[in-house]
Amino acid sequence: MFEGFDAVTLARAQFAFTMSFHIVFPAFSIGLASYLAVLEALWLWTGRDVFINLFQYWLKIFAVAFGMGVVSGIVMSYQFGTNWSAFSDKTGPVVGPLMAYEVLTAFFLEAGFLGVMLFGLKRVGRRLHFFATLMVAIGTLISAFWILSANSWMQTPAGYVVNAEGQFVAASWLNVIFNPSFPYRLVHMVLAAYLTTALVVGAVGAFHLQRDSHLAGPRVMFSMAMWMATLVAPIQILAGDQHGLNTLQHQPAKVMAMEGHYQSHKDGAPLILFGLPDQAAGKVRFPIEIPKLSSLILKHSLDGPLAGLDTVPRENWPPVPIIFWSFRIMVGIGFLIMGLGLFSLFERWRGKLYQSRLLHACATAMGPAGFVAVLAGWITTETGRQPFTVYGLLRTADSASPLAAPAVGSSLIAFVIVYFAVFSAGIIYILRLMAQPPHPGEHGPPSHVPARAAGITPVAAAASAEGAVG
Amino acid sequence: MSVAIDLAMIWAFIIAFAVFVYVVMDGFDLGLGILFPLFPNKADRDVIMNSVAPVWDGNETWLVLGGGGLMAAFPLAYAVLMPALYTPMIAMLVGLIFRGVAFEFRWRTTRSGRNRWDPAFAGGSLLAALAQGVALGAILQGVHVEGRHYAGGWWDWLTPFSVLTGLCLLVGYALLGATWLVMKTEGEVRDRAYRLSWALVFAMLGAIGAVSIATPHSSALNTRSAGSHGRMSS
Repeated sequence: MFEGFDAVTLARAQFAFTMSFHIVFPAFSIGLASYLAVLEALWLWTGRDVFINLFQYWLKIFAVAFGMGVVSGIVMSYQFGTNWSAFSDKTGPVVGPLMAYEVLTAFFLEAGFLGVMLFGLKRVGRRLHFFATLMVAIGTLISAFWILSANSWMQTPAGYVVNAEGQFVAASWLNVIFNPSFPYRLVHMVLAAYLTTALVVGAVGAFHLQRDSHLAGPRVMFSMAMWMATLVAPIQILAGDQHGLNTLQHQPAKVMAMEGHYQSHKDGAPLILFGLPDQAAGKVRFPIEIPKLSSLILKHSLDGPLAGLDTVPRENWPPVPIIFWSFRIMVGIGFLIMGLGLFSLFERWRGKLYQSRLLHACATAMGPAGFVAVLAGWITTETGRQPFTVYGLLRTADSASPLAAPAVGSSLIAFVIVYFAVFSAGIIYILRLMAQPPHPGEHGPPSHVPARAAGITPVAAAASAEGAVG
Repeated sequence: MSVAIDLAMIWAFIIAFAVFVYVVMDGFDLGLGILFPLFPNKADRDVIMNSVAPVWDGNETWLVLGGGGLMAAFPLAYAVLMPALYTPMIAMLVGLIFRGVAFEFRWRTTRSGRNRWDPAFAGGSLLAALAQGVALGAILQGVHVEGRHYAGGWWDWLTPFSVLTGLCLLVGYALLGATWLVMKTEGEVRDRAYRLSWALVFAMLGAIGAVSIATPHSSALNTRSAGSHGRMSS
């Protein structure tokens, strides 16, 4: 059944598949946890009911998304051992502690306060509950810190020595953690999480404003989300540019693949907007290019020389076509988000923010765009690291477990079936929650047994008597 | 050199502690899933689910710490054991996915009557618990190592002994689940859990006896390497 595949290819497919599903949930919950903390702070500060209604509304969605993030994350933490045991053996002394730090600092913080956040508003009082929300939000950011540190170390390894067994061992933990690409990656990813969440929140707000432009909740969430897009999208483009320059310095082959530069250019490289990269021939077919612009972006000089993949040994080439396209998708969506932000600013200035049908249609359509951009960005950076797991030091082919293809293939099929069954159900439940506008007296996730015994779906209006304002 | 040995000892204790806490804490809520078919009443099931809903996520964090700690402190053991336990590990992960999402999902279905996430919770818990018990037995009986790599096949773990430890862990978790219900609930659910606990105590004693008798014979199944790496995390 798996004759045509080797175990390494199947293991890579499995990692890419489970990772792609997993990254969607943290990207959403990092942003949503911070948004919930802001909503609760605004409620405590202003006392306006609209903020607590929005808080409870998004808290229900957060609970579903967070659960999916937890279970898909457990899969990731064990997959290093099951499918990449040679990698685990060699890099465990460096990567393992970073992940253990994540568990000890972030997971226990999140898990400890999540129960209070979801179920505790009426039991522990407002201040302690806000503290719990804040801790969950901080926990998600600490989690991002450690995981991105581990990932960045694989991209730009630093602060290590290799011992007699061929294992990477930390020589300086500070240099391991704050390796050269880490600060850029952390900023870029956290901003991406915030923008992704803003697009979802904005889309839900716009969706309900299209039906009734007077609803208080959708108005507030739409306005907040559009401010986020307006202000953060330009910062994100700047951060992405800086991240790219950092990559050029440390992983030039990845940038060559992003740019489609198979050939070196001594006096100014063109920016290839589109084209068909042909890996076998080592050239981009039918390029549409702007002369010298790539050198201007990457070298800040029109005639700056740029090396191409012809300076890299063929066996070290990353797969250019994938990276070339995923990079363009990510950048394209980034500019679309900035455009949406500017459009909303214009309508806000005209006083039509809650009435503009076109703006609402655009914002609704762009609801999932952040997830697409996050996935495209991760595909760019992870595929761009190939053919290495630890860049320049450990090849992917030498990282896999000593398993036969049927074992890896069977588990891949199991994960594909289970993930599609489980996570598509979860996404349907989330969309169903989003299809309802927030109601006055919105209540949080179901918790009280007697109140739950009567019905299954929490229809807010019916239960508004026990609304969680108390 | 003495420093390194001390660190290894400390980490061994940390991981042993994490695994112990995991078994006790998640044992409660995996046990509830195992006992779920015995409580068919919807209201009872709501009570049972809600008794662990705020804490299950925290309980599973210990499992991540056990795995992460093993990779951090004993990467060679992690790299040898995980491929050796490939099938039980994947089965455990799949089981944990189904039961983990059921906590939220079962409130979100619009269908009345039978909830399709209840079988997911029960089946997922059963599969995860069985897989953990089988993995434990597979570690105890030893794995085939050559150099720094696992050198066996992907069904080596399956022996009568590992099946026995798998079934015995089900009994242990079910007992924990029953006693959790005695502690956390009242009325009819508590009474039934109380009666179940007594039956499960005797089943548990039988399981302890069976594993104790079988263990000396288990390592004979694989004389090549009933290795110290394997025993470390057991």
